[in-house]
Amino acid sequence: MGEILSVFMLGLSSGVVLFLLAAGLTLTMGLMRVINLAHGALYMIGGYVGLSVAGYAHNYWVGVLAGAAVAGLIGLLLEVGFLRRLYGHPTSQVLLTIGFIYIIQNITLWMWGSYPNAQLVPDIFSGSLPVGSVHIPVFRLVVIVFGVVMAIVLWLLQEKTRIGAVVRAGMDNKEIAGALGINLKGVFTGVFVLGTFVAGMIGLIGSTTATGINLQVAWDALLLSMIVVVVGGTGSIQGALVGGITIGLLNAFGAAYFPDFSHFISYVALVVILLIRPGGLLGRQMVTGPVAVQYLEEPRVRRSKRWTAVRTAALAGLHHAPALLRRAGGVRDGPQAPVGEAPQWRILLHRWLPYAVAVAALIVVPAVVGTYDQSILTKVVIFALFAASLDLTMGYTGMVSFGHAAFLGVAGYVVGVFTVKLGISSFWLVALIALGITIFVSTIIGYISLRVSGVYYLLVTMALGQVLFVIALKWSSVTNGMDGLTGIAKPDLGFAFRWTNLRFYYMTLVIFIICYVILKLIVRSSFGKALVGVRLNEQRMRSLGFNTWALKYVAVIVGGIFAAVAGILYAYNYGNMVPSYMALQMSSYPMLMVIMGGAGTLWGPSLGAAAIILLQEYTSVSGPLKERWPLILGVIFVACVVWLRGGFAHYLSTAWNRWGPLRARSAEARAAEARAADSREVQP
Amino acid sequence: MTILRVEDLSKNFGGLQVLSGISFTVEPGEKLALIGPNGAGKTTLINVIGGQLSASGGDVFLGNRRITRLSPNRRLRLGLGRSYQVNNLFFEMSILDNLLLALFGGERSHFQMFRRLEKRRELVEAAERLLETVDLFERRHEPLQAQSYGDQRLVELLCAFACRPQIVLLDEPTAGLPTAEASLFADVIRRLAGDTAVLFCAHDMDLVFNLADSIMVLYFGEIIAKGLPEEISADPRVQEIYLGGDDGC
Repeated sequence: MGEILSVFMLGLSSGVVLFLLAAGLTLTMGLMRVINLAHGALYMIGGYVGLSVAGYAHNYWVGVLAGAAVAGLIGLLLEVGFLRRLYGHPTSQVLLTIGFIYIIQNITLWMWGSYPNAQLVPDIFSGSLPVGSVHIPVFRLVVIVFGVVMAIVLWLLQEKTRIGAVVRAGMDNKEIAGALGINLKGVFTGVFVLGTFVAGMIGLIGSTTATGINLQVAWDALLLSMIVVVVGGTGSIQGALVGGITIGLLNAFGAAYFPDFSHFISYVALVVILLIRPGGLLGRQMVTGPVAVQYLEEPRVRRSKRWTAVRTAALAGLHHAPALLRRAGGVRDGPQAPVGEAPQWRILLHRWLPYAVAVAALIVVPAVVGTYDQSILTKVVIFALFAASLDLTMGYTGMVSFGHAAFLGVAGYVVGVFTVKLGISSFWLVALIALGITIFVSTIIGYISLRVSGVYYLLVTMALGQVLFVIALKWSSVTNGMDGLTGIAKPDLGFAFRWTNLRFYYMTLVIFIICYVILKLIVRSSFGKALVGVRLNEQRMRSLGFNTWALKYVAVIVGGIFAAVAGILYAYNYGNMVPSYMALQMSSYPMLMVIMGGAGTLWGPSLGAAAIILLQEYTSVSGPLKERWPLILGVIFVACVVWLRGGFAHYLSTAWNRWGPLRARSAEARAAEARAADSREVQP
Repeated sequence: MTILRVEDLSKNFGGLQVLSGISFTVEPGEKLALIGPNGAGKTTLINVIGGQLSASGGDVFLGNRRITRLSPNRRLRLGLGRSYQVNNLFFEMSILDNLLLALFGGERSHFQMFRRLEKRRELVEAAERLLETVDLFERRHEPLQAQSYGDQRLVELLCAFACRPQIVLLDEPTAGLPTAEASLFADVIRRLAGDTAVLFCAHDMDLVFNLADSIMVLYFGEIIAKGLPEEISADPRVQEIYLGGDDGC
């Protein structure tokens, strides 16, 4: 009995921390529809600052406030400087805030070093309260009381002040709310900063209830608060409270009674909630069944487009009537002047020359550089395939996944386990098994993650990817845990073959080209067109007779297959598999490559992969910037969002087409340009 | 045989009863107009029949098949097409691509991964035939968003009829169009429909009386009259609503 009470108090106090952590996230996500993945990083920085200041000032609460202030200030900078311009562009918000995670983490590393900071319990709360046979630490009670007070304050703010109503009104219809004289910008900024302020405030308290603070907390706190938001249901303080307490208690009891599974318990809760009640415990139930939940489907953009269309029509008025009259009456205008046709060979040359140059360069360059550069180019090609596989789901279908490394990791681990642990050397057999198992995994991941759509899809793929990461970390008997599987020999093709770096590179290149061609065929096919239709207007696709759920499901699986091919090559290339190959950081790479290169073009993301990998390899391996690579990466994320909205595919193709014969085919070229333009901003 | 049969259909949003006790049938080839003042529930009824909203009670039958619980895509495959009150299309695609997708949607399998939609001769020809009927053929490769609102409205119509459904639901086909353009739509719809049944709702009385074989009046979620156009225009209750009514619609 006493033990249960003790575990209960532990769960309750960590639940309170989770609640306060998730409160800011749920408000900004549910009400403002702004997704801030840097939330965990702000919590972390609050913890670091709090610890230092509390140490200097010899006062715990001064530390708490200092952490809150710093996090709030960063939040203000993030909102006013960047996010404000990105309302209604979730993909950009995601990339921007991932960039901020890297930046905040690396600056923290710079200032505090890499060693975890010890936990600090203020002297006055260091005692414990005897209850029956157990002692409850006083600090836990203080945290719980603090949480209750904060819950009441936040709830009052939401329900009893105008702020909550204003935010809701603003999100429902920005223009009308603005016309009513409400300063929406101010209110939104206020809510956002409040959320980050609370996250920073809880940073020190959370580090005290847990076991101190370290850099990894930026991701862990994000994951946990995200799970709380999905489990509780978005958009309300009550939801965050229920979700936080639920997850806190489940984790505490899980750790006490099922220590082997304690790492999975919150994920299991997440999956169960998604399967039985995808709207969250207190969330509004929208659509259930096999159809994806339509919470955030098509946020603001399309409505404004419709409105523009109506307005245009009203303004155009009778202007178009005569032409329409003729047309509708079946009288056709004379045949249009023939568009200038360039000779066929010119068009073909224009279309294929870039590919030919790229392939020639990929064949020739490795032959003339050293073995070290050859291995880097191998990595470039593998990542090009990895990014292209994500482009199928993210760029074409519009589903932004933050768990794509899971597919790469599963395939790589299967290769590792079968070659190292089971001693099966045949490349063909191992590759086949790896593909099969990845397909199986992707059917499960796809089924669970397609219970939700929009931003929630991103969060759920992130959580499921993390489940596989934790499995790789904890299932030591198979995966060797943290140490990973080492000594994966270069593939045995079934005939005598002496591997060199260059030969492995060429094998990778051949496989890449084959996969690229297949992907290209798929995106140009009827199926690919349907996927684009799903991205542009899923509701309409449904009323046109498409089972959009099935289309998206198949897209996830096909994307997973090609990511698995990249994973197989990855394992053979490095000769080892460690859990970090399927961590969140690894999933963030292809997202950046897709957006940087140009979503929905296939070649853009491949080019983005080359840019990122080359930059990474030549800055992070040696030289003065070695330690600062995450910072540079973060800045690239931010810069891509701010300056490179279409990715460089857009600029390159525009420049190339201006030069070429396609210019003459005015109508078609314009249609193609419009297609290129629409693929610039992906709406998850 | 009846194409569409609606039995005791009701729909409420929380405590708000939007439709109650709706029962009617549509015969093959019939052009049935749904009229009523703003907020009468016309669009809601279309959405419940089309599957965009789920019914709170009652049933919808397409032919003999109960479709009340089917998803919109299943309903389309069974022969129920629809258009929207606001243009709900793929604005970034070309006109032709919009129609190709509409035609492709009616096919059995959508997982043809290596065959281009533009190379499907039978689909392209069908799409081009449709475009010729409204004289959009020459501009078929232009992006839809570059077209005038009226032309987009025509594409919206074409998409609804593309797969030759048994019945098409049209939600305010002339919404947002100036009178001169709207007056031509009755003709276009009749031409496109042929012997396809059409259930459409409209505020535009010219369209209603030009196109409809029969008219159904919806008032606060209930059908208060159904009959031939002459009967409806002579019905005192309808006159009360439309002439002496509260919103003067």
